[in-house]
Amino acid sequence: MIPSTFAYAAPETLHDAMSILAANADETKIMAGGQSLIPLLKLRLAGPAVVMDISRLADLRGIEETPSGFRIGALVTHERLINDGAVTRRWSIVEDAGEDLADPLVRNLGTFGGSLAHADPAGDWPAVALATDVVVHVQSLRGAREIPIEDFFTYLFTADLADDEILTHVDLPKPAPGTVTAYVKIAHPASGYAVAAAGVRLTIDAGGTCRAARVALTGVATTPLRAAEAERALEGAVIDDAAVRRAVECAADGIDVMGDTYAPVDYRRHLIGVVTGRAIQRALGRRP
Amino acid sequence: MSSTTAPAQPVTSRQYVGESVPRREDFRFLTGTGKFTEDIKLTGLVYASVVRSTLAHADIVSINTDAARAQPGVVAVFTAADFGDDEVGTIPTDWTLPIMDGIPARYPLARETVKYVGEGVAVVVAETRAQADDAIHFVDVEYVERPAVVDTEGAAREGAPLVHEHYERNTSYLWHLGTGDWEAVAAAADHVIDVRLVNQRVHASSLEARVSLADYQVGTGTLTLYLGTQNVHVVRRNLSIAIGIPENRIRVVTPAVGGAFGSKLCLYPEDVIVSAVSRRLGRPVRWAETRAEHFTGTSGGRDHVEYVSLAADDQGKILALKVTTYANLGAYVSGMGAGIPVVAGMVFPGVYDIAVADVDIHGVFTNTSTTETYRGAGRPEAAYLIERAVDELAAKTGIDRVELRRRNFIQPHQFPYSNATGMTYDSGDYERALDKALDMVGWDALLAEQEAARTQGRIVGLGLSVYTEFCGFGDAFQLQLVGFDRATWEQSVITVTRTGSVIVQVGIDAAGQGHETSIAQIVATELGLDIDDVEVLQGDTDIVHFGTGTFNSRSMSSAGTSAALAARKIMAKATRLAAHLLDADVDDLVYQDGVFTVGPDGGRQLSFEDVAVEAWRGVDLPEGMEPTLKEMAVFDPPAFTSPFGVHVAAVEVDPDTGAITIDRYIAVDDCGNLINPQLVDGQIHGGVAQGIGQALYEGLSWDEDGQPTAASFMQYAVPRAHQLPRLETGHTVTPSPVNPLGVKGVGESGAIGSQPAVVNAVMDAVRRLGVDNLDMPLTPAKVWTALQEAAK
Ligand SMILES: Cc1cc2nc3c(=O)[nH]c(=O)nc-3n(C[C@H](O)[C@H](O)[C@H](O)COP(=O)(O)OP(=O)(O)OC[C@H]3O[C@@H](n4cnc5c(N)ncnc54)[C@H](O)[C@@H]3O)c2cc1C
Repeated sequence: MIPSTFAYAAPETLHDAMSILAANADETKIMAGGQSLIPLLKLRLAGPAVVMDISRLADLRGIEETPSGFRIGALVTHERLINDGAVTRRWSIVEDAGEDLADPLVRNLGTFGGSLAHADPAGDWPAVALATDVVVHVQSLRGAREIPIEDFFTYLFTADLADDEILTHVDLPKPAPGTVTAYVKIAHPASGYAVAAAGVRLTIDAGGTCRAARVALTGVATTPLRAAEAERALEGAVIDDAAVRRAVECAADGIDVMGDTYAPVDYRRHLIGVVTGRAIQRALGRRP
Repeated sequence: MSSTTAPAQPVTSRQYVGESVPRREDFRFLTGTGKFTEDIKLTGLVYASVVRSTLAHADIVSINTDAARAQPGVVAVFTAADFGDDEVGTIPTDWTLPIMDGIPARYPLARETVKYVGEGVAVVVAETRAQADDAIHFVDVEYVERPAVVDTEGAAREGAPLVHEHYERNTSYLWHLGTGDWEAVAAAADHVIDVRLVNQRVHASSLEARVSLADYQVGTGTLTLYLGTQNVHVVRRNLSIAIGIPENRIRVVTPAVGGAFGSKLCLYPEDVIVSAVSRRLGRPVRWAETRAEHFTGTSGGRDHVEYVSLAADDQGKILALKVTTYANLGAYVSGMGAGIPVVAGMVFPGVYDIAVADVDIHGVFTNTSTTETYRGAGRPEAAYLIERAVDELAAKTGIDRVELRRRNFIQPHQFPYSNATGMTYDSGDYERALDKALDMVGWDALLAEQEAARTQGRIVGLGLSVYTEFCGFGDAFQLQLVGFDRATWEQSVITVTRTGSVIVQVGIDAAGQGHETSIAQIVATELGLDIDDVEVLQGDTDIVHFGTGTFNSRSMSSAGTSAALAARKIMAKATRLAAHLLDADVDDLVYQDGVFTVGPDGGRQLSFEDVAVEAWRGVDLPEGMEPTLKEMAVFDPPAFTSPFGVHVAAVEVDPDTGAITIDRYIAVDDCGNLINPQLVDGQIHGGVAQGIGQALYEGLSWDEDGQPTAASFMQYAVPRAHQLPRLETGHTVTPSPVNPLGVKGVGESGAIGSQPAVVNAVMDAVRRLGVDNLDMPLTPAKVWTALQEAAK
């Protein structure tokens, strides 16, 4: 199928882009890599009057090391990110997620910022972002905002992002000493998206006690989200088989799990435990 | 063939048959220079987009097209009411079983009622594709909904909502096959097993969806239709009937085709629509299917619910077979759709010598899209049925499944063998193929390995299937008795040009199989010429006036044979002419490397090209010989061919997720003589991929309201490379006795042997854990749930 008619804008500066949005926010769609937007246009699930291509905005590019971590520009492509040694040396979870994220064509075009803004309930970067506590930076002519990732995803394909706001970059912190991470995904055989996936971050002290735990899930509910019960089971516990088992058993607790023909609710609920357990084990395997 | 001369024997240096000659089609397909229907540009082209029913069953109250007509670029909007019966009639089919009470009228655009989601109700024609796609949303159709039925078995029940009210039931036919008294045999048997199997609806999912481009010439009153099809001649015939233009004023062309697999074998509504619209407007009209339309509008395959029982004695000798099948035809009868379930029935006994069979086949209408031929068309359903049942029997009797199969095989000396459901197999040697497959996989060692793995809690299994099928639609008489309304013969015409190059016209239409290469191999071998001197033409009714098309793995056995026979006629005439020109006896000529020589020492010589020139000049010919080297041969196969083979799969089930991994896959297939081993393996690879697709991933279904649950590759899982195992192929060669090339056909075998091998392997893994049945596709959720339940 082909999209219906739209006007195309390709501003050169962030200010121009924000001005275009300010003038006509509800009729304009931002396009970054286009790897989610174009399919929607083709299926005519979206029909904006204006498509604003932001790929020329230099401010949104690049990965920069900062004192506290990394500033990742919204336009950084999947491929660029997962091959950034400085990032992946500290965050194995980024490399893991990249292994199974779409295909080379999509990875070369799709962007990190677009993935977060799109808020796909089965997107991979949202779960990685939740596991790593990134902070999202957005900007409009009205001003700039910082949003902690745990507040960012609000509903199916909906983020805390107004129509006139542009996601400019995210801050990815540096991991605390003793931190290990991993990502494990069970992919749908047709779409390749997560049927269930878990991103895990564990900070474990020398005595083997877990000081901080993040278990982020995607593909299972209306938004990517954290498995609060699993995190509770891990934090403060000495990480042994029993602790992992407890986390697995309660990982789906309190989550309103979605079902579909391919993965009915009970099965998907079970998979939450499976991916949580596997991601924890994979992370633990990385302890020095 | 000329009776006065024996053709000279071509020499070994030109022996292309049996060689893996690189596919000459590769260059164009791999470099993107192949021309498909959408690549054809015609002046004045307009674009059609079809408004489709959103309901599974409803009366059309009104269709308002005013707003659509007012949209930018819209040239015209048509509904069924805009065409008279003489302009757009019903779509003919090619197979109506004699016991059917006719077939329900299917108009290209629905008239009073719609009967499945996706049925066309109006067509919008615009100056651009985008304008047409935009404007269809402005056509307002008012419906009154009716109850719908989508479940294959449920539709056959008393009281189910009727798809066609003028029939009293949804069962279009009940066809009985078999011989002997099942009841009596079963009552006296030591063992009887019963299984219910579902062979789900699957979709061919070609890379190129359907495209139809009609070009009506007002000045001449002729119509050209370009489309991707497996048979231009049947399209020409049926289109002529549907729109009332005589066949000799219709030209049907199939350019490159991006996959067909049986789904592009019949005339479709859109083909008629673009033709009728082009005639109305006097402009070329193109319609190109979207992927969503492809899933809802293009015919799918399979969709059978089968109850199968076997009766056996205490040695495991199978005494009798009973089957009741409910086969979903969809809302209408498509092309050969009605015949497929019967095809399945004819080969239900498979490779086993079973004396008694009692088979009832119910062809059932539902409010779903139509079913049709899909790679294997009936034989995959049959192989799946009998091979799953035989494994059940092995489980019940405790007899080893390999041994059980050996005890029941039809033996080589029994061929030609007529089975209990009325099919004759030409030849076979199942033990040989079985031994080869077991040897390739290392069956005993693998069994031991798996036994060890089980002690560590792993869920592993090994499965096999032994199948036979039938190809090369032969025996015209028998087929016409069951209502088959296509020809069985194939024709080839060979023309030798003045410069000695060779043109072969064949009545088949390839969709990626490589027929231009394999037919050229046959003809070059027969004529002793360089393969580059042979050009193969197909797919255009103005170039090839008659043909029967590509289906039922018939292209080599029928077109290959007719091409060989035409080449032999050419050779006979060329030899006679050469003898005349060299003033020698035909018997004294030697033909080698394209050169005729008198006597063994090679005194006087004439090249094939010299002879071609003389045939063309026509001034020095033997008494009574006509100028030119041009011959036609028609081959009408006297009987079907019966490819067979053995597939083995080794699988592992993830106990945590139910996901299945295929660790080994072995396919030993016997397609008779191999024209091109590489192309043969390619066919096996593709067929196995589609069979594994059906076993593990694919399935089209409809919810209770008749809405399809998959309309894109986001939901419908066709296996990609990383979802398939490495395929290990092997062959045995048992030539077919029913054609001079000894070929059987190989286009579908892979899709026939594979589903039962894979599912039997999974059942082998989980049966011992208490799971007694699983239906395809074996999705992880299904397998995991079954394991959970069995553990309770
Ligand atoms: C075949 C295929 C397979 C895929 N498989 C996966 C997969 O396995 N896992 C996965 O996570 N994803 C997958 N994707 C999605 C892919 O990762 C997308 O690239 C990503 O989701 C969106 O990034 P984008 O840059 O392409 O965004 P776009 O498509 O350009 O935009 C998506 C949405 O975000 C908005 N947007 C984009 N950038 C900004 C910004 N800077 N500020 C504000 N709003 C913005 C747009 O307006 C739009 O609404 C797949 C896509 C395809 C086509």
